[in-house]
Amino acid sequence: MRGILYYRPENPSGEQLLTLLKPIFTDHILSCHRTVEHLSRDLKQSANDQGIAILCLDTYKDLSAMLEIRDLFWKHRIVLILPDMERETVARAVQLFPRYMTAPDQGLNDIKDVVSRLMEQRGDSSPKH
Amino acid sequence: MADILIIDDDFNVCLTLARLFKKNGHTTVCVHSMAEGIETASTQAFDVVLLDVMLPDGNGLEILPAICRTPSNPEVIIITGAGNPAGVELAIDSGAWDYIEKSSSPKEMLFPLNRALQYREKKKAANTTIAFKREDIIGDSPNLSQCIDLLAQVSDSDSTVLITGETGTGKELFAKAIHANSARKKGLFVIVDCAALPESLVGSVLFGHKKGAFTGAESNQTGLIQQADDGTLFLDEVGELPLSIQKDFLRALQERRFRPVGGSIEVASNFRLVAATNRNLDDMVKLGTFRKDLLYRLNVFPITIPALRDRKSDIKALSIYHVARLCGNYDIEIKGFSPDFFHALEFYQWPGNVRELFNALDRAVTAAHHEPTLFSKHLPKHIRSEFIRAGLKHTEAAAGAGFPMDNGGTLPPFKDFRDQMEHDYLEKLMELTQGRRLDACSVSGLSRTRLFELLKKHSLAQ
Repeated sequence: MRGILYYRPENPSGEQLLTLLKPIFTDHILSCHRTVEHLSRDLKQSANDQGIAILCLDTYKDLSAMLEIRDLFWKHRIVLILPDMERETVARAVQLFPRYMTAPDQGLNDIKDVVSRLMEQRGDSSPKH
Repeated sequence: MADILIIDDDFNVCLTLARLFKKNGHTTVCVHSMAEGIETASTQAFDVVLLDVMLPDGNGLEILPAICRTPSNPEVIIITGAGNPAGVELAIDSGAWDYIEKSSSPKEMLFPLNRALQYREKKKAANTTIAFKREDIIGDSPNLSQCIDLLAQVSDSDSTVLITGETGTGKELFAKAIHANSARKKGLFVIVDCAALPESLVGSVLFGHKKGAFTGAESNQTGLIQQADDGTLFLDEVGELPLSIQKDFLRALQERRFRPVGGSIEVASNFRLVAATNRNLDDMVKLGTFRKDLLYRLNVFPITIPALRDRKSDIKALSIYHVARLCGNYDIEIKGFSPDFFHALEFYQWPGNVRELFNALDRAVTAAHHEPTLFSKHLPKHIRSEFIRAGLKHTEAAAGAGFPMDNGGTLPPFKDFRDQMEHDYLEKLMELTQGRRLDACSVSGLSRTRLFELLKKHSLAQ
């Protein structure tokens, strides 16, 4: 089970999110990306099992950039941290088919619970050999 | 122009009607008994059948249902003698479209025919299947095709849909297809993953909340039910919806109104619900963990997606599709497939369904490196083992058809028999595993040391 975390270096919530998520990924890989290019390359090259992508997007431009590479996320369950939860923002964000959406003003602590549960799901849904 | 069958033993009536219909651009076939009528209607396509009641081999009304059941399902117009209202009433009750009196004028005879043909045209137009956008749903096996027919039917309506199926069968994909083919396709497709949300979050995510409704609620939030207004709300893993939330959700489903957490004013949302689960909701109702009334509301249009082992003829198409996608992502030449690759895939039972298949293909493409063709050796070990075991069983069955006897036709000594069986088994094992000892150990259950000893004993060690 693999995790991908994306946030731009300028994003103030990014480091906070990384600190929250690290303990969940002690037995799994969590790859961090700061640019869309690096993220795309990783998604294209990845031959691992399905993963979870936590995308922390602080601008609409960032969200647009994710929408342009959305086809690369087909193996991943997506968790989105959006600039806000206004209808227009959500209307664009749902095109990524996220499993959970929130914004920094809602608090980030719930993300840890959600990501843990997604990892359990993915672990349970793979046949054991 | 229509094709018309006339069943009447009166040759004059047949001739008159045939000329009249031909003048109006239709083609006509005339027969003169019930038996001929049924046979002709069963073997040729007609739009309308004109059926006399008094026929030499019986009452024409007796074959009316059978005529309606013929492949072309024609409209039936009864030909009656003048002044027989009881007969007319009986004919209509029996399913006839209309009637013609034999004494009618040509205009009076054409009127019911033209109405029947207009009705038939409208019926055809309503039954025309609009192309269903399958998105990434791949395959044409009978089980999948049946499922897609249901998807097409339900996409046209606003019914609540409950999609069931094992994990990895693609329930989300089907839900997306329903949305993409519905009148709501311009609205949002909003996913709620009930299994991913802690119980404390579910209410707020679904219904939204007001600032200050609970600790951490620092601003108002619009819930996903409201976000799905005029769109589709996809409730994945609906069996995980907490019991405490089910009642409020049921109300929202029934009335399309709800109150955000901490709010006093109701909000309306015109959403269409598609729900999915791999759990048995009937069992959950019996256990008291799922509300019966909510299940009743969800189960308006149930669709079960077949497991991959029940649609094995789709495996090849799925594999070709997915490998092409992988090669595109990795920017490499598209790989070909050996026959044994597909055979191996088809032997395996796929408990993880399409998701497991795609993961296996991921690993095969990686294992193949720069090789242009995928072979069974590139597949994960547990899939290869099943294929190899299946091959061995087939060989053993063939071999066991006749009991081995020595040339004299008597039972050989036990040790000789055992050594021969061992030798044949090992020979077949190494052939099927292409000499790969790790695979041979996996299939046979022998340790490496024991395998090596036996191979050496039977001079099969390379």
